[in-house]
Amino acid sequence: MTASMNRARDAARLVYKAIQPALSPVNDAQYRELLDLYRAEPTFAAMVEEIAEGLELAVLDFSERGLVVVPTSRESKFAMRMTDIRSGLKPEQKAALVLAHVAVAAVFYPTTSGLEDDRFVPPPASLAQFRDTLLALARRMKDGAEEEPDLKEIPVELAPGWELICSMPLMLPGAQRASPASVTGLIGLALLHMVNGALVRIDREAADEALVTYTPTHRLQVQLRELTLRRLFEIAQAGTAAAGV
Amino acid sequence: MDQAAELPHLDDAVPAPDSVAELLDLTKQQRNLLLLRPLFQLELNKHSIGSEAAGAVPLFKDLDTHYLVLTALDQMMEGTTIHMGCTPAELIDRLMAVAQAMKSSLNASQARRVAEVILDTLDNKANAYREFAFDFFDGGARQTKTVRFRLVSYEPDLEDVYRYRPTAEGYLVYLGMLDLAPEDAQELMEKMLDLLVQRGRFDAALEIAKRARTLSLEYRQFIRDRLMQAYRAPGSVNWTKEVAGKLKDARGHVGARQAEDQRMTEAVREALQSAEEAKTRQDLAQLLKTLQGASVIRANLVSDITVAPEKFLLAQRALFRARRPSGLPDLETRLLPELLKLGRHVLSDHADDAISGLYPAKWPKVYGLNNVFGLLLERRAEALEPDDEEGEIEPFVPLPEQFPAALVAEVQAWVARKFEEAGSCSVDALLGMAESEGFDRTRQRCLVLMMFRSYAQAETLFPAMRAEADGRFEREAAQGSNLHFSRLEGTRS
Repeated sequence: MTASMNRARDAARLVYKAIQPALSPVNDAQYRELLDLYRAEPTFAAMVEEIAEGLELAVLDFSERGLVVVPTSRESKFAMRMTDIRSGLKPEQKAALVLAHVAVAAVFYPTTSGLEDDRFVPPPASLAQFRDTLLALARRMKDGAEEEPDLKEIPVELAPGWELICSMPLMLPGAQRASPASVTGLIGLALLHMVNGALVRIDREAADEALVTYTPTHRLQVQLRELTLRRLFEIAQAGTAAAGV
Repeated sequence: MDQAAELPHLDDAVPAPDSVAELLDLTKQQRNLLLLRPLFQLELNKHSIGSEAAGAVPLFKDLDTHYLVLTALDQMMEGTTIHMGCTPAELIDRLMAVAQAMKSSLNASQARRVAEVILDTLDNKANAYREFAFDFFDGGARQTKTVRFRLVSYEPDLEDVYRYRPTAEGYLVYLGMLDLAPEDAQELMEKMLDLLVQRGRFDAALEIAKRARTLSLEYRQFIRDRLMQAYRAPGSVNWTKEVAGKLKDARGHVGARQAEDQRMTEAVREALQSAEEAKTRQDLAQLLKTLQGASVIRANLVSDITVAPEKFLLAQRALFRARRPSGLPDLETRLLPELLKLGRHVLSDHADDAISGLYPAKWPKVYGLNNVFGLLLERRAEALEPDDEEGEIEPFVPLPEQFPAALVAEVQAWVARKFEEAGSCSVDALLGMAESEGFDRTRQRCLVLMMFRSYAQAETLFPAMRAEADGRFEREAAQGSNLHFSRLEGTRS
């Protein structure tokens, strides 16, 4: 009885550790022990997964770098929402913020082969690179669409995302980098929260923001591979189907 | 726009098949006209700007905003010859100097404010730096359309310094209504350089040389970007389509510039030998230096061009290693473009889905109960504007009664009498009787209010009667639920 009680406590403790993305087994002996237990004992692993499931969490991956748990759905109390990033965003700012996040991920992992190779280390990237990737793609799509006159007739609310990115100011003079009203500001906002969520790490700190570079963490790789890509794909599919294209 | 507003009338008058020819397509002219609207708006509204800073005299009095705006565009255009535009600080400095030259009474902070207003106008700060958007009537399509544009762009250059430069539309505003396609920025740039030369600016030659140098830099940047892209995502760069053509252009550029530079360098050397004036000599020396600097950059470009194919092949090698079959779409080449194609409403509707799928679990926000009570019990001081003037206390005059007591008593007695006679009666019937007996409007309204008050047993004026709603009534004096009054069982008056 006591043994199983201890088991339950350990399993819950492992979930507790996993919910703190900043914790790393490297400097937490107990975390390491619990991970060893998770690897060695299928019953313990099952218990951890059950506890996670009861909390509306799912275990995506485990390795010596930690246990990666994510909320099972957007309804989960553990799920990050737009309002957690910035409340009071306008619909077009929300749309652009999603694109900013995807652009950051795309710069690190342009193809799936990088995502699936655990040894692949993407080169560090700066805010300017994320911005240029998003902007270059949006502008290319805009140039491509100019030959199709139909697109010009679409009302602003229904206009595609590239149009939104092209029409937004790139940067507000006055250097408020985290303002959601500019493309650069939105990418800055995304990066800030991705750093907090341990998805990216600041590779080189600098007082001048243009010199700061970022690298992705293992968690970003796992999460993109196991969950995000699929979900983004579903959104793309659903959106295309809804538009009747 | 007046003309446009009149056109639909014309359209109505003329039979449909012919009318198509009647509506001219003035889109280009209209658009060019609308490009100037931000400038006109500023000139019209200038006196309402900054009056608080300048005291009684409006800040913009005696300042021609058109001149200032065009100066700003001119400055930015000059900036594009050397860099990719002007930094805000450079522009502000220049505009301050011009404003002070126009109006010597401006002090530094006022001049700065003027400069900022000019820059903000060009950048549409009033509308959160969005694009300018104006409606116009499109004669060809017979409907109102919207033209969107920017006059200036605020973008980073190769060294990631943010600079202002005019957009194609901005050039058009500056160059007036020249019959040039605004899309062809290159053509506009040349036109602008012609203008500078005509103006007798000696250093124009220097600027042309610097521009050619920028072009070399751009070619280098392009080649490097493509190679980087090939390294990051093998297979995403199409050599034949994207790079080969550009490399050929770059080679052409190098060849042409080298011959040109050679000629120019010699010409400058000769001029330098014959020149005597210090300023001219200085300019010429500067020009020579720029020309030499450009040839160094071009030498680098040549080496980039030479090694590019080899480096590309090296990056492409990764493409051939064994890959696991994957059902997941590539982020950069497939998923991001697909998401960019989605409507912004679809994206914003699914924003929470995407975000919750990207971020790890976060701690739900749990507030301590103590904090909640603390927050709820906090009394915030209301920010009341203290009233400087002492007010006057006016005596309270009660509003006059709507119905005099005598009238109320009279109507009540009349109703009581009717109840006595009829036993039960509805509001509608009572009003009918009142009308036929010559009650005026005031009495009729008093009657209706009295009846409705009597609906509640607690307040009724006729305790022996019971009221029930029975349909609706509509009379001239009032309308509403038709209350039916009947005698309570067991009571007799």
